[in-house]
Amino acid sequence: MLRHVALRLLLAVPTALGVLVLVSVLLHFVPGDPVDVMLGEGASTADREELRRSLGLDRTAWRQLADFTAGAVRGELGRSITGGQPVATLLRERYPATLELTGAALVVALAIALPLGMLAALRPGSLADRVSLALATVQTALPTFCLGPLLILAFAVQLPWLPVAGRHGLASVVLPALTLGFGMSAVLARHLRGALLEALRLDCVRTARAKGLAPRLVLLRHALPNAVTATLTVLGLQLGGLLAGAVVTETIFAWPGVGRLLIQAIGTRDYPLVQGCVLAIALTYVAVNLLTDVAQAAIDPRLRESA
Amino acid sequence: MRLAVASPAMAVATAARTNWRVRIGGGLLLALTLAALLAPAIAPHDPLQPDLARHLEPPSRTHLLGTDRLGRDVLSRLVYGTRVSLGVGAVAVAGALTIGVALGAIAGYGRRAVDELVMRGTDVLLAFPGILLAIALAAILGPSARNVIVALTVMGWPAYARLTRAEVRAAAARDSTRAAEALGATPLHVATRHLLPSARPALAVQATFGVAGAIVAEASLSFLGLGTPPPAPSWGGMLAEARSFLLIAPHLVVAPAVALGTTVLAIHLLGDGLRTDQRWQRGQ
Repeated sequence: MLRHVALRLLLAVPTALGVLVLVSVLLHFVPGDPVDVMLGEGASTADREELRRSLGLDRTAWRQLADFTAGAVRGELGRSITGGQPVATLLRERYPATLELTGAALVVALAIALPLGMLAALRPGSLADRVSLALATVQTALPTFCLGPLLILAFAVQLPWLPVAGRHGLASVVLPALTLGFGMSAVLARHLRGALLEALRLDCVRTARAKGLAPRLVLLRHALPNAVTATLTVLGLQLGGLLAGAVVTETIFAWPGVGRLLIQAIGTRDYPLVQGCVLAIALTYVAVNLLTDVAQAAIDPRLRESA
Repeated sequence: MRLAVASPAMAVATAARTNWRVRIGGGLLLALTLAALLAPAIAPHDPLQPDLARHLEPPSRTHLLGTDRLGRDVLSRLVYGTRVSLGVGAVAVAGALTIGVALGAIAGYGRRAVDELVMRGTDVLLAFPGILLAIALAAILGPSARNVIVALTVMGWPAYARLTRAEVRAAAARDSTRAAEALGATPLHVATRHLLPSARPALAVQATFGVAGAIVAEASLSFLGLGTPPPAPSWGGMLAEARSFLLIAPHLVVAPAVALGTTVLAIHLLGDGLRTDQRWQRGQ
């Protein structure tokens, strides 16, 4: 197991480095001179040279890349152009809010998907099965930025039960988490259903049935453990969508996370901050994938041997 | 091995005869495409003409879907918005498909080193979750329809490259391919006549869903202010504007949300239908 984790960790390093390279190169795609774009035409020569130096634009591309990578490894991501604070500090302030939102959204998604997927697999063609299919259809047709305003309209405006925006206490996380988590629940439920239906055909499940175990126990003790690994793969991939969806959801609900920070930074052309936000979200995703891998190996011994 | 069907359009037409999903999804999509092409003839008003005296009006006989904050006709903006959504979606997928198929075929049939290079490239791009990369690129390049297409193409090609590579590798192992190679066929001939045709059905299905994904991504970017800049009508931009008037003009949110939802559903129906259609798959 330890060897498997070490191997996975090692394999994640080149991916993380690739992400770093791509994010550091981003600055070079700014049309024209990035310094002009950020400071405007009227800035003094001294200010421009100072910014050019701090962005590393006075050095060769390779040198910039090496400096950016070395800085990122040390946790230094430069300073915000607009506020002057270190980018790393701003990210540390906002990161917990994003984790809270994605965590809550994950809970919402699982709370809908687990029972629905199991019921649908137990009785294909039943009401639960059809509901899960209908949900999947609604979900594909209703992206977060459509669902969010509609939920605000229903539960914050028409029925003034929940706050419209901001992050003040538990009630304020409900609508953003619903918006973000709902999109993921249907896909997850459909995959769980598929994986369970496959697991229900396994020999061990037939044996459990033959010895007279209650259908509920057959599902929970024998089919579910066999369906979990396949579902975890989908869950890991979906979490990426959740992290990116958080950018839109945070913008809709004025949720003070990394995603909203990113959009604000884009608005003020604060490119070092943009780079920092993109890097933070992408590296979180790399870490999530790594954790999914390790969790799968912990559950399924077959995966440890093949690695 | 050649596909039994001559062209994608003909294949869809054949599938539509037997499959209701293809019929309904394809029909809706055809209607939306016509609306996009004929927008100037269909739209009842000028989508850009403000009329401040009649702003934020609810649906009425003169303005079937009401007016927005500047008094512009919502229905007309919706109809013109079809052009942005379908246009950007189709062009972005076409771009991603071209790059993805070319690189995927080279990776699947070329040297090991090239394969490694292309696959590690897709690894890095796929390490960016969802539309984050498109957000970053569109933000850096500046808001315009062209830059959205560039961003979505960069984001989209790795998926097609991986699919093409997998299909090409499977096809390369077939006896018919081996025979062609033994007869001295050039790599280009083998790739275009033996490998890629068998990848076509899978790619067509993936690309169909890809268009829906690109349309949603474009709307997301426009919603965030990174897509087609105002005053040009786009569904995402309309939704973003509508948020400020949720209390007094809820119809402004509903109209673009329904338009987007219908389009995405139509494409998904078509994709689902094509995926399950026997006649379509038999071409392999």
